[in-house]
Amino acid sequence: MKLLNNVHLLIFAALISFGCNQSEPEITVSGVWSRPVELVDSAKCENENNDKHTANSACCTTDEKTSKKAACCASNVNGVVYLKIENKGGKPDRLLSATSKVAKVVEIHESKMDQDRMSMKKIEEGIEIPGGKTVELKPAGYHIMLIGLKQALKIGDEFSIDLRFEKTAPITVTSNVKIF
Amino acid sequence: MKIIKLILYCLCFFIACGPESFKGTELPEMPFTDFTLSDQHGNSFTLSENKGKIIMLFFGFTFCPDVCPLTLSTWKRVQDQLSSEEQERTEFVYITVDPDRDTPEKLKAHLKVFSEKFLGLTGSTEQLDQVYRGYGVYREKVIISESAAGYLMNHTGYIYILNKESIWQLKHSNDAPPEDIAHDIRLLLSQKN
Repeated sequence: MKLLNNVHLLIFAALISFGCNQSEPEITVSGVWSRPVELVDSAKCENENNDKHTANSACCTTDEKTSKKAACCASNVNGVVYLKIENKGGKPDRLLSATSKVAKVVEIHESKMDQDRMSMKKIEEGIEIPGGKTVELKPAGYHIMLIGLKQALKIGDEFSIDLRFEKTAPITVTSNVKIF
Repeated sequence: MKIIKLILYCLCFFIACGPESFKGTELPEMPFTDFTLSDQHGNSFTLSENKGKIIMLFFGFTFCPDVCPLTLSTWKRVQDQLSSEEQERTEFVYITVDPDRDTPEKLKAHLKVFSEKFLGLTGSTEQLDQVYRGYGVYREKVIISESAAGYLMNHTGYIYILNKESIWQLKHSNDAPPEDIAHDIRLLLSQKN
């Protein structure tokens, strides 16, 4: 009888440990691509306004009274990165942020179509990658926004982007520039 | 019995040979709304001077990295499907909803990545407001204080198609299959005036 009790205890313990022992997130990133972007000749902007290196946020919220600042802002162009993130592990992880040398600022954004209205917002909390699932950042949905590109992105170009996750160590991936 | 068969045959014939339908959403009869704006090369563009051509219209802004380039990518694939003669008779017209940031230089750089033939139009606030009103364009500046983007524009996301009389007749979603849009352009081109 005592032996039987022990067996029960063992099975119970095994069940508990099985239930609680979901494997750690196992993240792989694939299909990384960007659309081509041409830079604007900023010479004109420089003549009009000396603060061409001002971050977008500083010059883009201006009104008509400071139209010169808006013109400066026009020299800033943006890009995008799309990719797939697969989590082969059991526990969820979260894409928190990204950085790249090609842009001044990199943010995670989401576009949404509601009837005929298109809206965008910044995703502050990052994107959850549930265990055993693949999350795709794709056109008209989640995307990585490259704000204030420092270089043109031409078809065939490649550049690296660093992705930071909640649990997984940072991953560096290469984005291919193409028209798709 | 024979008569019923005959009627059925006739019905099949009419269904098969009836007028081809559009793939996009057809709009109720819209009024003609003329406008004059400037393109990215500094040339003036007046809608009424383009009668006889099919006009593709999209309202977007170059600061947008996702949906607006997606539309331009769709346009590029539509253009690739059209013959050179069909291309001559079709204008792809991108009108900014963000005139503060979209200078002609900016529109030029943004569009030429996709096609040198696409037109990027801007104008004075009055000129643009008239166009937005005429085409029921929704646009809203959304300031995102915590974002380096500064502000983004929420806006109408459809591709509009104007017939040879420059009347807005169809709309497509911006990720519609390019072959569907090319089909509708051909159908509109084949219509008699």
